Amino acid sequence: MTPALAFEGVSAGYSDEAIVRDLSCTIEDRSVTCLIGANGAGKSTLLKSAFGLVRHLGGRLIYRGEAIHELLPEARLQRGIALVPQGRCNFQDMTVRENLWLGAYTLARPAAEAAIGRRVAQFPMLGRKWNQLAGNLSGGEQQILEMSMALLVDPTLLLLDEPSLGLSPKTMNEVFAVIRALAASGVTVVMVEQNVHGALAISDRVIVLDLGQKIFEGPPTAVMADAHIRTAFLGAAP
Amino acid sequence: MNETGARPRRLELGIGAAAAALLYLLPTAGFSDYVMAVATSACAYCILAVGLNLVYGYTGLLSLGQVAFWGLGAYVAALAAVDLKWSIWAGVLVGGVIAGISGIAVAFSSLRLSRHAFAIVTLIFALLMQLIARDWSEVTRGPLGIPALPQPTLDLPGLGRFVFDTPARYYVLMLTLALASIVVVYSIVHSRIGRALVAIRDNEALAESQGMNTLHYKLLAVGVSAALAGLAGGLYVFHLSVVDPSIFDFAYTEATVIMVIVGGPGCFWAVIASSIGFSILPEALRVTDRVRYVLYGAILVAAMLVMPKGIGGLLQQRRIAAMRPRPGQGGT
Amino acid sequence: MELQYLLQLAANGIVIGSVYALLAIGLSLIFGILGVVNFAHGEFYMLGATATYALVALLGLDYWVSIVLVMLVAAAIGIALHDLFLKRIGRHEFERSMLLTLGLAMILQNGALAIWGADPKFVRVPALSGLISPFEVRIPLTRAAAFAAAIAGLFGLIYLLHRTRLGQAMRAVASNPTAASVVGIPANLIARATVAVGLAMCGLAGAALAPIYTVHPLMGTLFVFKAFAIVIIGGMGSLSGAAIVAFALGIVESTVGAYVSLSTTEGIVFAVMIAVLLFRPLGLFGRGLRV
Ligand SMILES: Nc1ncnc2c1ncn2[C@@H]1O[C@H](COP(=O)(O)OP(=O)(O)O)[C@@H](O)[C@H]1O
Ligand SMILES: [Mg+2]
Repeated sequence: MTPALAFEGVSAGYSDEAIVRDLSCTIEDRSVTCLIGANGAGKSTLLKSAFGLVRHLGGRLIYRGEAIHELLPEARLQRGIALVPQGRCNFQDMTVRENLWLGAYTLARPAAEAAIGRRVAQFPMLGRKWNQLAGNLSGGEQQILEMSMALLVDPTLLLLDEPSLGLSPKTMNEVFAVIRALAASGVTVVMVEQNVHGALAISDRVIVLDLGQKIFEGPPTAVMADAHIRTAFLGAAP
Repeated sequence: MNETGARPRRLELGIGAAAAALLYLLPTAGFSDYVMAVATSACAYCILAVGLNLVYGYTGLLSLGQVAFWGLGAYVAALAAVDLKWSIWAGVLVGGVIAGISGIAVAFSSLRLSRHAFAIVTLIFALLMQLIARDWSEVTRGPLGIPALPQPTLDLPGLGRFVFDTPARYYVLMLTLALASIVVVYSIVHSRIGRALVAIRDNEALAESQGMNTLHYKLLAVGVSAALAGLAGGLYVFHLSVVDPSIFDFAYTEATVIMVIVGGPGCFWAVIASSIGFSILPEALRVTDRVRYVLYGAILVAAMLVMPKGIGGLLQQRRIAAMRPRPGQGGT
Repeated sequence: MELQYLLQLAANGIVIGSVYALLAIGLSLIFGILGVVNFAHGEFYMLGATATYALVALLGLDYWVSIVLVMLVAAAIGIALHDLFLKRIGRHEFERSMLLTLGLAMILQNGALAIWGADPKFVRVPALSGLISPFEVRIPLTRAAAFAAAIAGLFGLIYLLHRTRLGQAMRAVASNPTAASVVGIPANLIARATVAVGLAMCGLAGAALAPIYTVHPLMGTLFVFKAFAIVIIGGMGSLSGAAIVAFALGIVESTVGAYVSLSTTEGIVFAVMIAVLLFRPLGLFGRGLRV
């Protein structure tokens, strides 16, 4: 089985200085990978480098056999990679309707209409808030909106940056249920999560980052078994 | 950023003092009035450039209104001498103080918003000053300005009266102010305050999170540079012997900006060198002002595209690169 | 009689205001989408007027055809401006953008002076030599034509921004550049199109005013400062705010300017701008985007 995405010695950052340094790992097709690490470890930077939002400083990024590290974000989106960035990242001063249409920006009109219809059926909240400004939705609603926008293009690789950040436990469970359903339908998922226990329950693989480098990779059970990582990142007693 | 050890610092000061002494001897070399007039204007530009470097190079605030403070000082000094019959020195001093205060006022009002607002407001302030100079003719005499300004004199006890009536004598005066400005700005940027300014420029949020009142530091930088510009303008008009609204011309701003950009924002000596270079250049170039400003524009564009840190910045990078261990020689 | 006179002045002001609006909106668009303050905006307006002079007075082309040609050329220059210069500047390099475009303005203005000299030139359009007099207000056809052209430009912009895919993408980038990249909007192409549109508006403004004012190399300098003032007073990022302030400025200049000197009026405009910044930092109509 070819991996969906392979980082081959990737370095990336916001200036000449590398934040993610010389990182190699492979993401298996149809798997759910969880990235964990302390604040500022470079998790978001790694996801952004996969989507092309930060400076590529070295190494290669292979997506289904094709080198993509030179491609612009829109070209990566066209190849089936979608990103939901950390924090609120939508068009605050536009309505839900406009946000969804922008989410479907790369689709032709009929396809966009159909895709939006499917998401509104899946998340009735979107229909109820159809003409409200995105900035006036609750945090959880905005998260659902942003995930819906990313899903409009039916990505095969979804990059999720802290999808449960700031959500109530109930909404958080909803979001995790959506991610599980996506994975079951064959979407490859890479997510950054602070809520490690919830995330590990639905992950096939875990990558631990520290200071921009990979310090651990393995199945969730191995992470739980590693005393050092447990204390450092999972908040468990030694 | 501009950390220099104690030894280079002493060397720097030694060279500076020697250069200053040489510059004072310049009039004795028998240069023509024309050369001395160019040297006088180089001193004035040097003050403007050093002041802008303090504000833009060290603090990161782009002021496009230094010419407003320069012109304000000029008008205040001229009016004080002509209408109020003050001594020229008092007028120049008061002009500098008023320029400094107005600089702080402009900065205070705009910096509450953003550094972007600061750039635009300083620019508009300069335009406003020019319009006032042109239009408030009861005071400023309108577009024709105030002609026949007196010449500064100095009564030295025991030595008699000294009149600054030739370009060479005026040069000594301007040079003294320029050196004083250099000393003032040098001591600011090499003090704790200077480090604070650079911290603000490089990462204002971080500086603020460390409990620094960044606004105070920014106001200080703008106030000092505006006051220096005002003093320079006040002193310079008595050399011109006339002040009119063209003293606020945007071209002065453009020239000063070029000097700082090409020298390298935040590079102390490089900016001084480039201000002198660009003051002499027009005389050596022998082209019309138009063509010269086309060249200046091209230099500015090229600098922004290929070396936003200026020549000084390039040299500094080279030096840092030379100090870095080469790959394979140990270190990571 | 007095009222008649005021109406006359107001009509003149509205014409000028519509052209101010074209310039200010272009400036605001470029800032909103690229984060670039285009110091050379006024010089492109000057070039538009000069090109109109060349086409109409020297080549004898039809005025309306010339306007379209000037706009097309201006848009092409906008693409070049973006690809050669503005593309290399990051969104947050505000000072760098300002200095770079200041350099361009210096080149254009002084280059124009060196090539064409400072003598004012006149564009006469024989077809527009008459007057119309609605409600006894006498409006020269040149002014009516300028107004019609500017209004067409403004409505074209509104249509572009609110009814086309390109406009939708432009608003998205202005609203949130990261989110725009995330949904696959090609930031570079949108930026290029924005500069092209902004410069086309400069060309249109220059062409519209060429038959009214004299054409000379320094005509753009004060205009760009006024456009800055309009954009700030209207609220950076608020295009409708810029339009309203532009019309207000045109009317005030024309009416007040009839009683006090023009430079006093200009002084008042700049003073108002500083006052607005002090008391309404977001501008009169701003929504949150700052200067
Ligand atoms: N926009 C940015 N510009 C410059 N540096 C950034 C930016 N965003 C993050 N960084 C730096 O990159 C490092 C990693 O950040 P990030 O990838 O967001 O970490 P994480 O998501 O693991 O918390 C941090 O040191 C942070 O300061
Ligand atoms: Mg993060």
